[in-house]
Amino acid sequence: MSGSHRWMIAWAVVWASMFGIGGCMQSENVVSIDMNRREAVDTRNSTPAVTYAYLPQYAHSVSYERHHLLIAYLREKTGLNIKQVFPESFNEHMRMVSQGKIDISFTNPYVYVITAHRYGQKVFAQIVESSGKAAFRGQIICRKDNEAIRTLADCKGKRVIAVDLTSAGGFLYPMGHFFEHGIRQEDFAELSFSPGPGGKQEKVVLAVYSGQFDVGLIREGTLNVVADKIDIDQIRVLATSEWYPAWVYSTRPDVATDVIAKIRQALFELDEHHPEHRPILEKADFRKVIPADDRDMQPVWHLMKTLGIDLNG
Amino acid sequence: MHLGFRAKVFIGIVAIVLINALLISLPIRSIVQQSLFREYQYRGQAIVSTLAIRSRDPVLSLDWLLLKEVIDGAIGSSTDLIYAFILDENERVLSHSFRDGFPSDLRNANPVSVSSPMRIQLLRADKEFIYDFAQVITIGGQKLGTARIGISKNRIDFAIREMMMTILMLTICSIAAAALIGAGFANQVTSRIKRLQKASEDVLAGNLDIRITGSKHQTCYDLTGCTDTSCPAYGDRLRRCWYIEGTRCFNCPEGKDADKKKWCTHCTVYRQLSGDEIQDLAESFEAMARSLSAHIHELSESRKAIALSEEKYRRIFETSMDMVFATDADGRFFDINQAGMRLLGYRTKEDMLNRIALRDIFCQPKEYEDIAAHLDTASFVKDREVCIRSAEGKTLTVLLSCSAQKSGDTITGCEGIVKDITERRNMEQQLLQADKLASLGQLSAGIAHEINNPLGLILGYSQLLLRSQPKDSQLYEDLKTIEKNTLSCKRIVQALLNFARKTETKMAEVDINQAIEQVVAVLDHQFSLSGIDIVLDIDPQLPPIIGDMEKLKQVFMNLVMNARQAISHEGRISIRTSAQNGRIVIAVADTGSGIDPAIRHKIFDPFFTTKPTGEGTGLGLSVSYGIVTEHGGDITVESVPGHGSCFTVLLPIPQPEVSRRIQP
Repeated sequence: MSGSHRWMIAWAVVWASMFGIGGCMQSENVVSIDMNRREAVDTRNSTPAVTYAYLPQYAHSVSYERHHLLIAYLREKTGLNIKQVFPESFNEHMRMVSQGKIDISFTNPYVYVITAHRYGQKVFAQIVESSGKAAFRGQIICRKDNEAIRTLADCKGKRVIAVDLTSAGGFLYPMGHFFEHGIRQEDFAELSFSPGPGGKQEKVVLAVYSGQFDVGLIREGTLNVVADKIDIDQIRVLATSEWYPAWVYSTRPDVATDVIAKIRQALFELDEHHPEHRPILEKADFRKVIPADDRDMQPVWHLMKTLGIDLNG
Repeated sequence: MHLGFRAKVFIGIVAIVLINALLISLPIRSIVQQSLFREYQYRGQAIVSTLAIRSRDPVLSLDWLLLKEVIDGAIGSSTDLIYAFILDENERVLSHSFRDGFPSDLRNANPVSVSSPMRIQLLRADKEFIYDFAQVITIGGQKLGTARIGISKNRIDFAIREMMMTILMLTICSIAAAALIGAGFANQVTSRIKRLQKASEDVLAGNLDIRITGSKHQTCYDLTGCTDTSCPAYGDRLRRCWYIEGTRCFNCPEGKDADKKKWCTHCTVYRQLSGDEIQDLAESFEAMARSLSAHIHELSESRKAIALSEEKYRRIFETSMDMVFATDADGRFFDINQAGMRLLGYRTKEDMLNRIALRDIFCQPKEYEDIAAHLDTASFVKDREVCIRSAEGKTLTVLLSCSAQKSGDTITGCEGIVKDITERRNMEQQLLQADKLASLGQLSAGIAHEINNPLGLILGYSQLLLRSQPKDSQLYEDLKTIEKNTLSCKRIVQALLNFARKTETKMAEVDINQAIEQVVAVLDHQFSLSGIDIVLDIDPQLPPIIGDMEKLKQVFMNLVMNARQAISHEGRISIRTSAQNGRIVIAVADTGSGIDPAIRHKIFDPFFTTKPTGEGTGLGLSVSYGIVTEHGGDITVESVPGHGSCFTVLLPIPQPEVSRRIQP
């Protein structure tokens, strides 16, 4: 073979390697599959379960994150197949209660009062907030640099956003506070509610932060939830409502009493000093669960009555 | 086959572009391929991550419709996606994008976990390769499920291939453009180089009047408006001013060329009119050829002058009557003129040059050593009389003048002149001899004349007394003795008078051959008895001369007798006659003992003899010399001791007018 032929072949090899068709970047592990072998998908849940729902004041992920350890605990503790379900909104939560799709509800007292009145829901426990009280408050917020709002009275004629019409901390309690200060709903230029589904508390803060609304109504503690999303120093808490009952556990009246008893017992056994229970309670953002009944819900009844809220909707 | 310059330039440019393209394209290919692959990876990861995030809430709320919308949204976001699906925490399919059921093999083809939440797996389904991207759906570190998408690797490859084809096309275009530009460039360069080559061939062929760049449209005087007509660059449109010496530029210092060139490079004229390297080369080559032509012309003129000069000096050299020579450092002759050749007896220069050294011709080595020593110290020798020997062995007396050629202190050669003064020295000797003999002759004639008369009286009175005395008386005997010795004295006186030409000479036409034959006739028998042969070699055409027959016979008799006396026992005497150059030559040679060189110059002196006292008068040869010179001739002698001698008598052949004048 002559020198020129060798050169030509060398060039051809180089160019072929340069512009070669195909060729992997590196040697890769290939898994062979048969795409023709198909199966039908069945998403039905055949296993019966006790459904547990957290009123969707936050995003589903937050709800899941807060309560999945608790549910696992309950599942282990009671031996029941407890499954968390995620209603899209407060109304859907109540509708699912009415439809029997939620056995154990973890809701604010406001929703409980409504569902108790409408669907016979029974309260059996109440949480002790991280503040150490079995109560919480609502907050009225605005932008820190909003010079037009210095007092509650300045909220008149302003655009106001609340969490939901059935939100306790994000509507009922702050509105009670407004009421006490002589401000009525009609005094606002606009009263809107956070769009669903989920994440409704955060959306109120973001709406005020972005300047879309002048005033926001949220439950106490929400600012910490969004601290990783916005600069909460730019938010000023204009006012904080009175203390009202904390969130409650309730159940449908037709749920078996032994099931309720097991769950209630398990909840009551949660001890923040117990090394296994501490992460569960920290995630769930409460310190312990205590017994409760309808008498504990009286302040809420009164407030609703004061504000003229019709329980029948 | 050797490639031409144009082909080399063309191939070179294309090769450079090709190599560049290759060197650039290969890393680009790798980079782009990796970038594209990474891009697809990032894209796949982004899509699957988005899918995982967006499907989190629907998975939690088991909102099938929303989940389906999220999946369809992911599929619709990119045409490269083949499929998308969501698995729950127990790897059950919650929703997918397949129309005809879910491929069951796909479920566990790319497993992920919370610890390894993202994974890419290459799958092969029939002939299609798929990159499967899996992302764990988590909340608070808890696995909710898995989002999976599939991107066709064939489409990635296709994108890479498209990109590489673009690079290939660009490369081909670049090469084509480079080839075109290279061809144009090569043509332009090679056409100019060819002109240069043609000019170079013309120069090689001897044509120095070359035109490569032609007339210059712009010159220094055009640019500067110079009107100095005395400047050599003014009006010269064939050469650039920076190639012309002695220009009178206003901004150039006068002086050396190096300074001029240095200034020229800074000159605005140079900056404006100088071309590229090839142009400069062509113009400088042109200028060089013109300069060369001028120099060659000058050289030719010089050469002619030198040739004329050389011819003149060669003529002088060759026609010099004296020997002119040149030797090398070793003293060997490497040039010599014809006179030198003749003097040293060589026929051709080849016989002598580079073979014979100066020392070889010296008779006495010491003489050469003296001269060599003198040359070494004084570098020359002037009119040094030395004895040299010719090739035939003939010794010559010469005057040597020479000078040494030196390189530093080393003699590299020698040049000189040798003048032959042998004849002159001989003549001087002969003149000296003749003067001596003439003086002797006059003295002898005077003495003889004065003695002759008293001797006559003594002889007369002694003879008168004899008549008166009885023959047996003592007195008679005494008187007889007086008479006898007086007669002897008278003969001597007569011989002296003959030598001094004081005797009467009877001039007549003489046949030399006859005279010789008469002498030989008298002596032949007597000599043959002594074992001596007389050999005659007579020229019968010998013309007669005018002379005294008897005196000439006396001369021949003396010569033959002397030859006889030189031969102690047996031998041979050769007598040869001939006519040469208007003279009759009579050579008498013997095979006797020869003549001692020490006494050779005395043999013609009166009373000089080698015989014992009383056996010879010593007047034979001197009388013969006198007779011959009286006849206008000469006697020479050559002798080799131990081998014999040869006496040559030269007598003039009378010319017609002379003969008439002598005739009574």
